[in-house]
Amino acid sequence: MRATFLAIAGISMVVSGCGGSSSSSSTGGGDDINPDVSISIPFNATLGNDAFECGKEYPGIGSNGGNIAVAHDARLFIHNVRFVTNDDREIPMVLDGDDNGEATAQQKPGEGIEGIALLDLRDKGEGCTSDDANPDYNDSVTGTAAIANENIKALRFSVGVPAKYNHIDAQGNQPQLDRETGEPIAGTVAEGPLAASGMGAGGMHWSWAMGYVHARIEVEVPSADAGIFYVHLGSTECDGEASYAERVCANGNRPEVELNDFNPELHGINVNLAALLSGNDITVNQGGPAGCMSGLTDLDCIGIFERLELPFPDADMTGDYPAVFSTFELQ
Amino acid sequence: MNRLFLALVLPASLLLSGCPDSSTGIDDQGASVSDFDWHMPDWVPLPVEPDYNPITEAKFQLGRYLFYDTDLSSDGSMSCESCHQQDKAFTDGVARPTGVTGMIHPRNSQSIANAAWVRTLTWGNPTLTDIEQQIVIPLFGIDPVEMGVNEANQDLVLSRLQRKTEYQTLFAEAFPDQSDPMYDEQAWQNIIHALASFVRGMTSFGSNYDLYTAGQSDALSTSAKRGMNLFNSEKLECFHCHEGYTLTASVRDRRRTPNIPAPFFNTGLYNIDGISAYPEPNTGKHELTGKTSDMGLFRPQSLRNIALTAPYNHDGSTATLREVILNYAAGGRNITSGPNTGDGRMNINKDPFIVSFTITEQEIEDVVAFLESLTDYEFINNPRYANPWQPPKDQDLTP
Repeated sequence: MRATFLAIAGISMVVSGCGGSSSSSSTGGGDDINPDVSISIPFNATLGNDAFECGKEYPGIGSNGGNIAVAHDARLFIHNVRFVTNDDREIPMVLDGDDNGEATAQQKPGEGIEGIALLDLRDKGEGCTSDDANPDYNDSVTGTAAIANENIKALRFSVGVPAKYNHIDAQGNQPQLDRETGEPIAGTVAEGPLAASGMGAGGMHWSWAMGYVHARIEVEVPSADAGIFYVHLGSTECDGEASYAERVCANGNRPEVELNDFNPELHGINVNLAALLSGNDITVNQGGPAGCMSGLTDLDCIGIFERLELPFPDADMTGDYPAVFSTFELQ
Repeated sequence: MNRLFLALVLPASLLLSGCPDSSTGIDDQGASVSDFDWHMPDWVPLPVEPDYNPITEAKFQLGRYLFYDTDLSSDGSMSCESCHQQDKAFTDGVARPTGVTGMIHPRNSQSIANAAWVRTLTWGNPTLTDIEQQIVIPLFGIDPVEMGVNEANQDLVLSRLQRKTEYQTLFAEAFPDQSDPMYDEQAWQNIIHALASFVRGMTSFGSNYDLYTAGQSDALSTSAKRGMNLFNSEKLECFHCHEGYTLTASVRDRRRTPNIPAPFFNTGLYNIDGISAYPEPNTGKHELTGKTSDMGLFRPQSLRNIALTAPYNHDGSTATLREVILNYAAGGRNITSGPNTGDGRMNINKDPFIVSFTITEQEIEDVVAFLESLTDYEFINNPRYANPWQPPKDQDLTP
C-alpha cells in the first residue's frame, strides 16, 4: 500500500512540475489529468433479497433449511477504500469530513487507514434498540478520488478499525502515551466515529479487550434459548498495554473486500446477513457466547469466519460460500 | 525482590525527609495533582492516577452516590453494591454473581479495596490498567450482562439520575468546569470518572497487621505471628506473589512504573483432559492473548481483608481459606470427577513457587489467623465508604 501511495504522490509531483495548476487541497492526488471526483458509495443490508428492517422476521436463515431470524443489528467500520484500475493501480478514496474538514460522527476524514467510516444500517424508522428513529443511521461513505479519467475495474476496502487506532481510548479524551517520555502520542485521541462509538453504550467498542468491534451483526432467534445470535468481529490474541500504544493482536480479523466491475455511478454495496449466517444453525450455541464474538475456541465462529475469508482454526478457506459483500445496482 | 525494592526506595525517602513541607515522606515526584485526602497512613505511597481524571473529593462523593444507586442499572434492580458490599470488603459472598438479566458472571466478585494500586484490574485481563476502563464493563457489558445499560435504555437510565435532586449539586461540584455535566454528551463519561474516583479513593491500610508493622507488637496474636512466619517462609512461599504493602505482586504506585510485565500466575487449579486446560471461559490471561503459555494465569490477589471475601479463586470454586491452603499444600488441585476432571498439580503452566509442602492442622490455623489479621475493620465500617442514600448505621460492628 505504501508503494502505491508513493507512486501516486510521484505522479502528482511530476504534473505540478510541468506547470499543472492543481488547486485541489486534497491529498488524494487529484490533478489536471485525473481531477478529483466526488463520490458517495451507498451501502445497504439485506437478509437474502429482503431489506434489513429492525424487528422484522425472516424465514430460512442459517444452515439446514434455516430458522426464523429477526433483524437486530447491522453496523460495521470500514477503512482504506480504494479503486483499482484496469492496470492494477490502487487509487485511494479520500473520505470527507465536515465543511471544515473535521471528523463527523460517521467519518474520520482521510485516505488509507486514516479514512474510517462507521456504517449503521439499522433502518431509520425503528432503531433496533428502541421505538425511536435511529439517529446514528448512516448508509454511505462519501469522499473524493482521482478517477475522472481512469478505467476502474474494482473497488476494495477493509472492514473494521485499523490497528493504529484499534486500542486508543474510546472514552474520548486520553491520548496514548510514549512509555519512554510519558508524552502524548499525536493523533491518538479518539475522534469522529471512534469517539462516538465509545461514549456510553455505543456498542462498537469492546471494553473487555480494549479494542473496537469491527462489525456488529445480530439477529434475534425466537426459537433459541439464548435469544440473540451475535456476530461481533474484533481482533484477538492481543498483548501489550493499550495506554502505551503497545498493544498488538495476532489476529486482526479485518475482512478485505474486493468487488469487481464496480462503478460508483451505477453501484452500491450490499451486506447480506443471510449469506454471513448461512453456515450456522442459528438456534444452536456451540460454545462461548451465543453466536460468534471472535473467540478462538468458539465453534460458532468457523462458519462466520469462512464467509468473511478470515483465518480461523478448522475453517475451510477453500469452500465456495455465498458472498457477504456484493454490488447492487442503484435505482 | 521485595528487599531489593525497599533498598531502592529508602534513599529517596531519606532525601525527602530533609524537606520540611513533605507530608507523605515518600518520593511522589511532586505529582500530587490535587489536595485529595486519601485517608491512609503517611507511609503508603500515593497511587497512580490518570492525568485526565485527577481525583477530587467532589468526584469521590458523586461516585459514592452513583455506586450505591440502583437506578444506574437497566431495570433499577442492581447497583455496584450488589456485587461489592462494604461488610464483605466490597465482595458479595457468592461464588459467581448474577446480572440484571439473570446471566451468571463467570468469575467471582473482587474486593475493590486499594484498587488504585494494582497493575491490572480484574482476574485475568492484562489489558485493563485504568479503573475508568474497567467500569465501562459492568455498566455496558453484554457478555455477561451485569448492570444491563445499553443503547436502548441509556437515555432512560440517565433520565432517572437527572430527576434526583441530590445529583444536581453533586455533578456541578464534581465537574465545575462544565456548564451542564449531567445533561450534555459528556454525562456518561462524567459518571464513569466519578465512579472511578470513588473506587480509587477506597483505601484500606488499617488492619492489625498494619498496627503490628508500625511497632505495636501485641496487635498480632501468637498464633497469627506463627502464621506470619510460615507465610513468609521458603516452605510455603506465599510471600513471592503476595508481597509488600498491598500484599500482591501486582502493584504500582507513583514512585515508579514497573517495567516488567504485570504479573499473572497459574496455581494449578485445573488440568482438564491432562492438557493443562482451564474451564471455559475462565482461561485467565489466555482469554485475551490466546497464548497456550498464558492458560490458567490469573493475577495474584491482594490478601488484605481476605478473610471477608470467601469463596475464593477466580471462579469461587474454593470455599474457605483452609481449602485454599490445602490446595497449595498439595501443589495444586486434583479434581477426580465431573467435567473438570484433571490433576492441576501437573498443569504445565503451574508457577514454580507452587510447590507442595506438609502442614499440620495447627499450622493451618496459624496461617488463617495471620490472614485474619489482615482484616481492616475500620475500612468495612467507615461511613466514608458507606451507602449515602441510607442513614448511617447506629451500631458499631467492630469486635
